[in-house]
Amino acid sequence: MSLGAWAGFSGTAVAADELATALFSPSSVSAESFAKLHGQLDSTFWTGGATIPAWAIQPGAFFAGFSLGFERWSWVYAKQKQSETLYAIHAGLSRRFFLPWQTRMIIYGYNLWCRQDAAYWDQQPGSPIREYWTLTTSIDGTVKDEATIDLPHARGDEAGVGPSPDPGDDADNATSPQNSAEDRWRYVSPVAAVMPLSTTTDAALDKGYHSIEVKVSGTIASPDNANAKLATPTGALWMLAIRS
Amino acid sequence: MAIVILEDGAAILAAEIEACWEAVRTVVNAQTVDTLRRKVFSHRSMPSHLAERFLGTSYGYDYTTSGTVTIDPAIYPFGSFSDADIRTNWQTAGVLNGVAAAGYQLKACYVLAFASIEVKEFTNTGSDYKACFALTAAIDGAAEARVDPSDDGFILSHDDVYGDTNLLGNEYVHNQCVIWTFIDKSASPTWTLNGLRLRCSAEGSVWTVGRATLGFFAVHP
Repeated sequence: MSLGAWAGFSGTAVAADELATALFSPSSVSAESFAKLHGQLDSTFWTGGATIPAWAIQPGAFFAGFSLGFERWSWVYAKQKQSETLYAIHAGLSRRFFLPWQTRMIIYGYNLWCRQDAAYWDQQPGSPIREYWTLTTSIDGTVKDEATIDLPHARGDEAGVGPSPDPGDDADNATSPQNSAEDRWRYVSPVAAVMPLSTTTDAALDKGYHSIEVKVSGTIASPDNANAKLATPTGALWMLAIRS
Repeated sequence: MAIVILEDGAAILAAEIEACWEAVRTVVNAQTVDTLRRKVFSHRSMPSHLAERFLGTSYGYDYTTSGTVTIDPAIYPFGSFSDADIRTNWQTAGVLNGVAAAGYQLKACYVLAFASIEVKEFTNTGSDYKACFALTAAIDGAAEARVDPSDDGFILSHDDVYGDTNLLGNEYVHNQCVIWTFIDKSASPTWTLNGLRLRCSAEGSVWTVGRATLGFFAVHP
């Protein structure tokens, strides 16, 4: 990138508008404008060469991010939560965050180990009851379905002998106990993005404070809901914001 | 190159300003990478991004509703993790191909693409099952293919995942699969990303994708 020559004033007198254009012309982005040095070093002038070394750019000029982890057990009891409108906010996966500039895109997600109390009730006769937990992610109060996770039942009803849900174990399946083993904790790691799209209503986030929350709700049948809980031993929320 | 301090009542001459401007330009244009200080540029000097083309789409369905992406092995059978098989036999669960399918015209850049899938359930038919996923890209008009052979994944399950052999209905597994891939086009002045696809196939059972997201962004070097 280089500054082109300025033809100078059109007349012999100083013209304020012409001087302004030569110094700073954000609208016309003229080749000779000093605006190229301050505020217009963008792809308009970029011809494909790597002319600015990475070390010359301040960290945080284009990207910002964080990772917030927790490493202490937390519990949410089903007795407290029975629907997505009656929920608990998972404190380890929720926070306010500050964006120093308007974003073009935000990639976010979390990693979480879960040990959920949820059973498959094989009522005989009667329709089976599937208990599950839901982790709903929302940004600024808007639910993000693509970053929402369901945690299925971790206990089965052995041999269909209802109605009590017995915990499964390795003996239930010689190949793998899979979901029926409570000691096999569920690991979830949803990834999603907030970005301006023509096909959705998502929009870029302005600079300032925003919030991301992971809400815990459970669909747990009685009498399990007296004691059932979602335990999360460790996890981390992360976010990468790219400026506009 | 500074403007001469004026006497009281004197006029600023156009020629002086022009000379000053030219002097500054000469100094500026003489700067090289070697003269740059560390961290000299901030977001203030670069209000516009070096990255572009932030795009994506997402699919989200409630647990209680049927997913709109169903992988039927009778229609989309898994054959192998080969690009040819993926192109021929696998289902497209999501696609990004730009405006009017013309693709994305990009400069030299790095592209980071991602896909996140949550499989809601599969229909238990009494055998072992797997759902397979791949993230593919079509670049510069070439055939759709994975950027890296590892840009795929699968979810394996089998009957009786809950220890109840009497259950032959839908198994609610809610397993996840996340794929990231990296496209290095830093040496190509201009190129076209014709599209990204999330492909899927199944073996042994019908699977339902409950939630998924597909996106990418490009960063200039």
